Amino acid sequence: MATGVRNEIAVALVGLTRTFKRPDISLPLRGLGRLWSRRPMVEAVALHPTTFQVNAGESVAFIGPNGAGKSTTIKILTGILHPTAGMATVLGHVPWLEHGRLSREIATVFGQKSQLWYHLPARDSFTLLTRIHDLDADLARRRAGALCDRFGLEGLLDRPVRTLSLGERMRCEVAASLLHSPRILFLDEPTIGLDVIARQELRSIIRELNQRDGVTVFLTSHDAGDVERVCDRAIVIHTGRVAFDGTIETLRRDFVRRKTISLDLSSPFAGELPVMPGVVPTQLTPLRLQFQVDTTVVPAETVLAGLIGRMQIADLTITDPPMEDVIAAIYGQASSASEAVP
Amino acid sequence: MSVVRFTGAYVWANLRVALAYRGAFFSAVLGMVINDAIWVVFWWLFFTRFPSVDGYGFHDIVIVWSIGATAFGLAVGVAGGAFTLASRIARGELDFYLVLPKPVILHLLVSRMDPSGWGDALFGVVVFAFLASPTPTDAVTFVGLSLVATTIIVSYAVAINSLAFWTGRAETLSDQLIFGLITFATYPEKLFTGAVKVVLYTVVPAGFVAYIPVSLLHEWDWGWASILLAGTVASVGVAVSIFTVGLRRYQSGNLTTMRA
Repeated sequence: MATGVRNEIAVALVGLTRTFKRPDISLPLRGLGRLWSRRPMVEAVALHPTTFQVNAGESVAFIGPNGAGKSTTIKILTGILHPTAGMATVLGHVPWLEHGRLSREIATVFGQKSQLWYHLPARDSFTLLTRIHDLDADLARRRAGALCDRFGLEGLLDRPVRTLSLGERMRCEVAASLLHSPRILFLDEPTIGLDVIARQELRSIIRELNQRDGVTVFLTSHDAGDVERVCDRAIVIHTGRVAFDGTIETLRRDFVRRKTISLDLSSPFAGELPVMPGVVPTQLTPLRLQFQVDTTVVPAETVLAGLIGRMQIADLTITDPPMEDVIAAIYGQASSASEAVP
Repeated sequence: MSVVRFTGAYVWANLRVALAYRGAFFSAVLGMVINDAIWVVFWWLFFTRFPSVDGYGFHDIVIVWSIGATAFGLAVGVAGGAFTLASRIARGELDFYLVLPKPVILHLLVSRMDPSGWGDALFGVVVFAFLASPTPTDAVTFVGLSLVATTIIVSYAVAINSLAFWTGRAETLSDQLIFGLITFATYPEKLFTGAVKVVLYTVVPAGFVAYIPVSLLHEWDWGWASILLAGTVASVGVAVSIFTVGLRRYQSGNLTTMRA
């Protein structure tokens, strides 16, 4: 079944906020008073008021540095945590009030938390999930068979989970979470700790679920590859606010205003390069020149105009920065912003 | 019906986990049987020397231990999660159950079991069958009262473990109170009077777990049976209320965990 983004709101947040109380560690307690005195409590913010919406069928990366509120958001949207203020709906249900109904329509995969029983074969966890979701036994068996074929789980389901590699276990985890045919899949760091091959396999599985089955994917990850290969849209949250909401291409193009211009020359260049503010040469060989251009200082066209005519160009490419650099820049901005806060 | 199937599936999964390490499982069961047997032998020696303590004899101790061991064994053997709830709350391990259908508390109760509980339950049933000389009516009453006592023990464990939602950690307190409940439940009621007796029908409900069931097994009384039933309903209500209110304070966590 080929599906795309549908005109139906899957996830909607309006001013969703979560705060918590913690002891004020700025006030020192001295002497024996430490044993019984309590520090005054201060309010800390786990999630600043956040507003966005996701349509059914979308594949969204929800990214930001540690402590930005990503996991808190997922936990509120799946009914694990109650918000302090604001409103959220997932498939029309308020997660923390309609947990029962919502749980039959969503699934979660936490890279750091397993839902499979460690000492039992994954098939036993599938059986238990069949009971938990009140699925018809025959239907669940057929569904498990289909997932087994699709995820290449043949031979894995009957081995105790503790004997599986991390990659094999994560494939079983995702398959287990899909047993009840959820409409939204929430993934929190699903590829953490996986090797390159296992990561690629898991990404293509999630991508296929979104593209072929129309499952809405809401993913948080620090891995640029996850964001780039699984998602079409990114929502960047930092310093508690939505800093960017758009397509992955736009994110890469606009968030880091830096382009790489590469020139392959047909004859060696031995002349003088023009000095331009915002342009840093990164590779200078007789037949290949590469520059990094800060487009907030100088437009790429101006740089090209300064270069063309001075050398014989065989090939020219202008590339956006890799997603890894984009995410690093986002995190860098976040940490400098938080350092700036007194 | 689906709740029964669901509970059965969890119990079966827990048993499969326990039987994955058969040696450990059977040694835990046998160890508990021996432990319980030592206590009954102790009481047998005691009552050989002092046949009656304020009207309380060896037969009474046999019934106390039968119901107590069976109820506690079923509680930790089927709903062992109630006794580890405080540490799971403190470690933020409720996330997985909060995204599943069915009441969270039910998941938490039946998702863990302590194999030694089956030793307790086995011991309780065997002692009752062989030392209490039961009639068929006694046997049916024993089963019913054991299930009621199991419900109260599990409710008590849930209530005190749920304090972890407020205190952050409640493992030590809950262990001490559960241990206190078992201790008081396995001694003759007549040893306790006054304020201690009030405590044994409230804060540490040994009266509901052992004393009332034992007296009902001796002689059925609808008045006491009604009090026991009311106490059971109240204990379930209090436990569920404390857990539900506490759940709103749940902080989650980022600990890496496997289900075992």
